[in-house]
Amino acid sequence: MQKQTSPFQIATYLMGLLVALPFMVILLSWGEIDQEIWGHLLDYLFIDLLTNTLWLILGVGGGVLVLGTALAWLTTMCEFPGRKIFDWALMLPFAIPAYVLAFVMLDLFSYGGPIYNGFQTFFGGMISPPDIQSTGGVITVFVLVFYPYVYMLARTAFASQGNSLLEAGQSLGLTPSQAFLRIALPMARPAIAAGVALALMETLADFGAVSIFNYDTFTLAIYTSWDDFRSLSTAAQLSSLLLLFALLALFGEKSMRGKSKYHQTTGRAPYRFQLKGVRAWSTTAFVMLVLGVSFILPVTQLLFWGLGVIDQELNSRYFEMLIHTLVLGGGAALLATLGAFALAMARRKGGEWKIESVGRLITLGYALPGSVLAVGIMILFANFGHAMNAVQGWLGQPPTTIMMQSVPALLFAYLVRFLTVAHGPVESSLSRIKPSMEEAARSLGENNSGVVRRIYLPILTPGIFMALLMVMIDVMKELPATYLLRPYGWDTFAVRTYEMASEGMWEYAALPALSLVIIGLLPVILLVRKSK
Amino acid sequence: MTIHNTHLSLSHIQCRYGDNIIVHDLSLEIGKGELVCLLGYSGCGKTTVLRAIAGFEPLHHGSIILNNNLLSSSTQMVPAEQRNFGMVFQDYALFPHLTIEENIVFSRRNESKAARTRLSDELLELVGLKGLGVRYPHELSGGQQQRVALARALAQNPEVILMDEPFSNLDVELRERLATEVREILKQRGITGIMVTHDQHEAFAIADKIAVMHNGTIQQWDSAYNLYHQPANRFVAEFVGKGAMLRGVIIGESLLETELGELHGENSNSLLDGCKVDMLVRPDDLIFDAEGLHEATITRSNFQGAESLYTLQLSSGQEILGLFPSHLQQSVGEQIRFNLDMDNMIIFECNVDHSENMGAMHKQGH
Repeated sequence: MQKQTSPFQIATYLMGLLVALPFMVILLSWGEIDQEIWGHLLDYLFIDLLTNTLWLILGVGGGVLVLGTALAWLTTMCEFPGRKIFDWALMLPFAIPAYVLAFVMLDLFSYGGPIYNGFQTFFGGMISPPDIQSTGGVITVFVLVFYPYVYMLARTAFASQGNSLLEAGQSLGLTPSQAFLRIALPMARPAIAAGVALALMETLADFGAVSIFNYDTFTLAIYTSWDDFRSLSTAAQLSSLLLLFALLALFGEKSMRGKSKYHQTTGRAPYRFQLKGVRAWSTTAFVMLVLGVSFILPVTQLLFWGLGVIDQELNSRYFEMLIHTLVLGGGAALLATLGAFALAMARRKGGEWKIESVGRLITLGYALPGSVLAVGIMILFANFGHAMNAVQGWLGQPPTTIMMQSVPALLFAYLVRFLTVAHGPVESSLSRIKPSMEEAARSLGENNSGVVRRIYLPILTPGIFMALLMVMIDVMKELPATYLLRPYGWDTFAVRTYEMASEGMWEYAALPALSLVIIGLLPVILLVRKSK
Repeated sequence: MTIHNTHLSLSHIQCRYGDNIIVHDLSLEIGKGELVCLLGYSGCGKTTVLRAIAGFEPLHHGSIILNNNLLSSSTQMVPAEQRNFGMVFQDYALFPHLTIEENIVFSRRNESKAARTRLSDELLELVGLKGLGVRYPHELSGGQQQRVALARALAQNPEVILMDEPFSNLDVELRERLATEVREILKQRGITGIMVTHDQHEAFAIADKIAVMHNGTIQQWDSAYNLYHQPANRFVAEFVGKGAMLRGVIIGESLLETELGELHGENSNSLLDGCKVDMLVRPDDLIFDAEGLHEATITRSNFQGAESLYTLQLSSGQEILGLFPSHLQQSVGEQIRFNLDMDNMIIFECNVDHSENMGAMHKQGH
């Protein structure tokens, strides 16, 4: 019996190529340097870019670390009023895109906004409210939006530790807080670090929030060098620098994620430290404050704005955006899930090093920030267009224009970025099908098609559904790649929200933003149900 | 021993993974309704033989024949789904998305709903799981899942049932009880069964005949009694049951000189006088006797309930095992007297490669 290359393997190699191409274009972009733009960049912007990025990494990293871990410890290991609700409700901010929280905050703190007025009333203009359009403000927004990554992973880690180890610690003379510092925290460290790395990847990739706050980072500079200076090469060079930061975060996440497996022990569900009196109520107040600022406040504000304009805004343009959003989300979800299925099947059948390394390459796509990916794809399409025109000129045919900004370019970007998202659920449902089950079905008289119909499809369906849903929602929320690559007139909810918000027209941003939040709640609800 | 109606026959089969020969020149004849067991350490090729019979592994040489129909050869292979062999997998391989009933009647989808329910109820009752048909596999214990896997295989009215380490994931007590139950069910229905295991107690509990395998070949194909009392070679002697080897020298026909004196015994060996040999002494060959001929020092004792297993040191330093009634209550360091009671001497020539040397000694008539 010789091994043939299966269609799944061929598809996997093809996807590997698709992911590798934008990476290569970005990393090999240093051949031609635009002196004038780089001169400008170095004179005015570059130092700011670097320091701002470092501040973000430090501030957001430290912030999500402390906030996420503290909240996870409180809800898994302590008992206080409202704990059961907070336990899942603290994951809700996952549904709020960073750029949405950003413009809500901007309004709250702006001249004449509620916070500004509050300060005026209480302090009589003696103290002015803090400037939200500052490093601290940007960091606060990111921490509030991305702490759920750390919260979720740390929560699972704490819950899986069981209480026997903490009891062992206490029997050796540790107080509860010493037990936390010396036992629980070190054991949860890999999970927490993985959560921080994920939050940092999202922070580095963000374009909307920093743009609304006018805070110079790489994503913004990449956009500017393309949009203002029309210099793809400079955009690509800046992208390659951002990519380095992103890859660093990704490798951090991967190595930590691997380690966290070894630290899980089984045991009884943890008992909880009973908080009493002032400590209990101040805990409740603190957790409530976090949930309020990160979720309840922005949603209420959006509802308030949205309901005010719903009569005039729920029009044909809204439904056109809805259709665009659904078409792009659905198309990308279908592509990514098919790709993920092929990859999972290829890994299952083959298990060779070639497939494994291509598989690893494909999962790197997730680390490509949307703006970096968009620049890479634009360069690819431009080069492809030049080559096509050269061939056509040689054949004496009129040149066709290859549109850099087109639906195929968008789908390409989504596939590269979100294949990993689809791969998780598809592979975990495929792993439920043990090889012996296929053989059992054969020994019971089923042929190939019967095995696929009666074993594979029914077992895979929930995983495939989950993959479709998760990719679709991620694509709908995705801003930078969509903003850069969309063809003329293809506005989505995310693009509309951003455009209106960056013009300061909050009311008009509210309805699409609210639509995104509602869509984004779906996977959070699934997550919450799964984690119970 | 000849079989009158051969049901399944493997002749000179060879299986390979790449250049690795996993099963080499292996032949077996299994009669209708017989229960047989392939017994050996993991990696000895026993599972590969079972999978070759099931149609999951190709043959490199030889053939597998069922009722005079060729199933597998180096050029031909009837697909697994057309063989109608029931298979019970080590991990049970129950379909997680189907209920127990749907699992059991998986092979009967062309029949009416009522007929399938009837069949499932009947089989569930047979395996002692009445009323559990509506549950899902993950809601059952390991032992219950094992029974469902058997019921599912029985539901297809198989020609042969193949079982791959079917009890290995269960605890010891349940293991032997289930093995006996499975034997009764298969015997009652007259189904030919082949089981693979590394656990000899399981094999003794279920099988009419056992093939002890090592390095891809059959070392001995015999009843449990003969494997224990008349092992064909040193590997079988050491693998099956407990015992020790006592050094000796041949000094005449049926006469052996050892530390325990000159021993008589029937044996079919053709070794020359003066040949150094090892003699197999089973723990139950030693009979406690306060006036016994032999004496030894107890170096270890292992209480086992009705009996105790003692490790005894002879004056030369050689150790043998003795199984004595536990009432004796002898302790370590004490002297103990005993007699030897052996029906036939099992001897193996010294200083020769383990598995090859003894072919000549106990030719089992096939």
